[in-house]
Amino acid sequence: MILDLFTRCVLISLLAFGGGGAALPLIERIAVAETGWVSPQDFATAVAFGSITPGPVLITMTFLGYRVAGLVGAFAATCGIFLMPWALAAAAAHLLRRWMQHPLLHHFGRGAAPAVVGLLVVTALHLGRSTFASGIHIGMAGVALGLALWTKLHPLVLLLGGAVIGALYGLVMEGKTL
Amino acid sequence: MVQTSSPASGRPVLALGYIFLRIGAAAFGGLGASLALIERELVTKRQWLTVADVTAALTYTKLLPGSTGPQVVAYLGYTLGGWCGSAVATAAFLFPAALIMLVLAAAYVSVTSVPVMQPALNGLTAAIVGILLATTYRMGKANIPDRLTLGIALASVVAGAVLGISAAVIVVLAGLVGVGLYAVPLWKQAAEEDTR
Repeated sequence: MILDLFTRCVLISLLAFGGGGAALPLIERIAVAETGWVSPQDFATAVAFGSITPGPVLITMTFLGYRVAGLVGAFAATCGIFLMPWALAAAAAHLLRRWMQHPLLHHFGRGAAPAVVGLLVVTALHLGRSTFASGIHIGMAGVALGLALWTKLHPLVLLLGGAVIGALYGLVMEGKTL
Repeated sequence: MVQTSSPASGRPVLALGYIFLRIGAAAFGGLGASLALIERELVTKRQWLTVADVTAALTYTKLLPGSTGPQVVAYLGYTLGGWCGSAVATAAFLFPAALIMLVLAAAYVSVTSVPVMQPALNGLTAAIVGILLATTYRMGKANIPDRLTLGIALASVVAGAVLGISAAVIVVLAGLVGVGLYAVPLWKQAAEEDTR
């Protein structure tokens, strides 16, 4: 289990052409859709926390690793997701420009990056399908999209707003209690 | 590139760890914030690096798979202190965020047992979907310059959402398509020039 978690994280990190955001749909596909390790909601919460903490968004994996297998899982997942990218970057500094501008790597990235963009859409669809209880959630997602695109609001504000409106909706419409 | 520092100039590893620990704890807002802090701490304040070093780190690590922020740190860590400096700098940079995530993960179970948390998390997820789509739009603008790449993106949506093909397979296939379509014409061109 731990080894599986580690190797899958290594695999995800090696396929994340285009930065940390590119790994998010891969994490969702692998940890939620393909293995069922965590629920879609666990994933969404982890991404939310990952984007409001300092540092890279992929620290999300520390949270998910903990959800999968406790402290050891958190450690294995964190190492897995950052080990190879670290080794590659340090090696790049070591070899400097000799290999880095190799056209094959460049072309591979040119093809892989748009696929990752497509997978982001799949992840958004998947998250939406599993958590949208009503039209109001679709509306909220639309508002969040607009605000994220056209304003400089910090993501933290959007996430907090979403949580507060969701809680109010639960209290009023679904009769949940505090 | 004239002004780049020579590799492994041998800065004290402990000092590197401390500097990147502080950067890692303050880098709210991802790559942009990390770069700004690195520049302030290591270029402006200490002058251990030049702007050209930071630019080179960003340029080369962007070509590599993985999270760009920690990779810039890994690259610059190597420039400042070799393999050991790179490992210490990267680990220190990641440590604050990892610690916060651990605490949040440990508290998560007790927090989610409160009934009102369920709708609150649904609202949070709705916001996440919106933010994800905004990210998709920005990444799409940067990575989909022509019809070919647009085709790859649309095909991967269908492959993932409809056909349920594994994400890893999709990315590797798309990369190979990129190599095939962009690289082969170049080789042919080069071969023709050689024979001439």
